[in-house]
Amino acid sequence: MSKNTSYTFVVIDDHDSVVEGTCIVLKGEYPDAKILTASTADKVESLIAETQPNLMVMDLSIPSEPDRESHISTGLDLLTGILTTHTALNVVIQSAHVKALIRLKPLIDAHKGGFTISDKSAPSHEMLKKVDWALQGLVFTPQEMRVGLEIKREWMTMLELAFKEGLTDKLIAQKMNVSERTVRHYWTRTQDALGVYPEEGFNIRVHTHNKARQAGLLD
Amino acid sequence: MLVTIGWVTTLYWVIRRWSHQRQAWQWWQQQQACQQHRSAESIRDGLLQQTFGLTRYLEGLSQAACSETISGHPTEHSADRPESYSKLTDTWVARSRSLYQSLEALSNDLSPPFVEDSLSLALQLAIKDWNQSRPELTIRYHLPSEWIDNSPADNRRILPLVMTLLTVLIPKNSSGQQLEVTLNKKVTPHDSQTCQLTFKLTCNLQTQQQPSIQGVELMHLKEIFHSLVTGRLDISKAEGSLICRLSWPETHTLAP
Repeated sequence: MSKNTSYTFVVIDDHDSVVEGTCIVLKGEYPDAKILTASTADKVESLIAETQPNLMVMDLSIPSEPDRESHISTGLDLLTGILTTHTALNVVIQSAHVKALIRLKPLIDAHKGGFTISDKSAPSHEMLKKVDWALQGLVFTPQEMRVGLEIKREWMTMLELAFKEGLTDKLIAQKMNVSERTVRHYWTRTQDALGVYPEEGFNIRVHTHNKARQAGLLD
Repeated sequence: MLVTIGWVTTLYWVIRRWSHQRQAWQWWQQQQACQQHRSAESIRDGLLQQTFGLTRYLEGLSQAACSETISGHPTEHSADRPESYSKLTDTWVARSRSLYQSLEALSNDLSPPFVEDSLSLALQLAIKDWNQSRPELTIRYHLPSEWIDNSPADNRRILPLVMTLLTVLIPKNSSGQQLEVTLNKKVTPHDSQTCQLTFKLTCNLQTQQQPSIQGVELMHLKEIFHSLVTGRLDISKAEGSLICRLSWPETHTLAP
């Protein structure tokens, strides 16, 4: 079903067939969206600064400028700059090199906007799901990018305040001396670590509670 | 006196030649790994991208065919299409995805994911993939989440050796076995760090025969491991378990 919200998307990829394929899928789901494209890293910063997009769909292996070879390092450097400068931008990484993102893990963990990873082998509907999650500000990183369960201390505190003391996000924020937005950020990171994502008919907080208990984080 | 000098000189030349040979093997192995990495990147940057474009194109055809069927309003071209058109496009979408996955697996074989960044993650992924052909084998991991100090060149040498070792130890169709994988670092008495990877294979002794620890392949692996990473491969049996311990000196990557 198509969505009528008029978003601005930026698609970055150096392969015409990939850009075309991605734009067709996005247009099918978001017919009113304005979609801008870039094939080299040198164009991206200014494009994002000028258009302030709602979402960026990006490949990691791209050339720095026209007629140069594609390199993952170019994409990773560009992404590092974007995540540092545009801290609330929603990002979908669509690449055949997604595992290289492990190098930016601390930066991804700290990013305030949505951040999802869509492997290029994924079918269109899976890619659209990752776009939707990123637009909602959620985080999705593949489980294989983690060794075991990686939960930070502040996420653990939030889980205890929410599920042991039954506090709302507002009260959790007050208790932890952070903003409510930061608490929401903790939720998305914790849910990603636990592998909890939005699912039709499921209450995500209840699902998080169950998963946290299964993982031994809560009694 | 002359005999002693003769022996010392000979010994010196033997050690020198052995050291040169080892360096040559390490260099050759590194060249091979680099070549394989370039081939893998070429697949990822070329064939995988083209296959992605093709898959999206086919998906578009499939969706168009599907919506025509649902709406009952065929386009000017659809009258020429057989009824099975939608199924046909679905089949080709599946084939295209399968081609993508095969190419991805090939590129991962040539250059394993995470090998440049984290031996823990590279091991975890490689062993999980390998485990798919041995579904009866239960594996428990004790891997550190941070493993950033190891040299990528060492990782590229160690990973194929480890996977060959596991394949020699645990052939396909083995059942009733448990494998524990532990990776850690130990400080030696000389204050240098040694990386240690331990495999503990526990067999159901009533149904399984444990592999021989004196096999020719294991002997070869010990030699190769020593030559390529200056490491040791120790294999022993204890309380119904086979324990393989690979240890090698930690080498730090210099900042570029």
